[in-house]
Amino acid sequence: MSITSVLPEKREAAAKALREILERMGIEAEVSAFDDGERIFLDAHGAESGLIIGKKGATLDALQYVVNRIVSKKPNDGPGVVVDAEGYRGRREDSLADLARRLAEKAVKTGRPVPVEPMSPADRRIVHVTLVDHPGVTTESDGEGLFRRVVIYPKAPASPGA
Amino acid sequence: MSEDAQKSADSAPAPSGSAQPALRELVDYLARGLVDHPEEVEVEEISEPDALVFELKVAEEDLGKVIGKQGRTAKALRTILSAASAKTRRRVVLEILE
Repeated sequence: MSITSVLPEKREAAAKALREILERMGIEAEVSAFDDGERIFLDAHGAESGLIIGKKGATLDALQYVVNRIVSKKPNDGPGVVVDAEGYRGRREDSLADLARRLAEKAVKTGRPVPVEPMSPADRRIVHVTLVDHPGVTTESDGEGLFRRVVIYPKAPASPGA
Repeated sequence: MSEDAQKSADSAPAPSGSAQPALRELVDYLARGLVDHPEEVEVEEISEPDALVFELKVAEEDLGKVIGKQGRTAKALRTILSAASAKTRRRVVLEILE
């Protein structure tokens, strides 16, 4: 059975869970749901989206984590659910990618590893993905739990044909 | 203070927004969604002078489901609860009974 066949069902379950949660939080918002065949995207919109997002997206991350746990009881069980509000994650993604590129230039210029501040797995992923094709640096995660961070390492000059 | 007076104090109008949070129902819904034995979920609401306390009780084998690795699920629940309580102007505490 392909993953696609469970998507619509899971998408509706995830949207319902988020609507039920927001309603009990006393937050009036519309939730729209779509998927790209691999992941499910929920976007909440309404006058109170600030409450849904929270500081640095903390409430959004908590909602996303809980909705994922509710619709898939085991970790890595099928497609993941991304919870967003008013396109916040896209905007944050752009600014994290800018930051990653600036710090990569710094690593290249100084020839030293540059640690990025500790961030969530999703944010670390954005930094890794942004720099995956960067010619001058490699990235690794380091540290445990809340202190886990990406470190950007300058590459040794590549030998021709390597 | 009579029971009715206590109730009306809890449902005092909030500063903004027309919808009101239903915090006990929120904890109940989240916990039931997370566990394998929703029928064993119990949420008790205790009104203390400085805070509203929610005591969450789940089946013993479901404790890990509401706490999570390194307490991640419990932290997420507290973050959601605290966002919801912004409208109530009261401090809200979630206690998971073991």
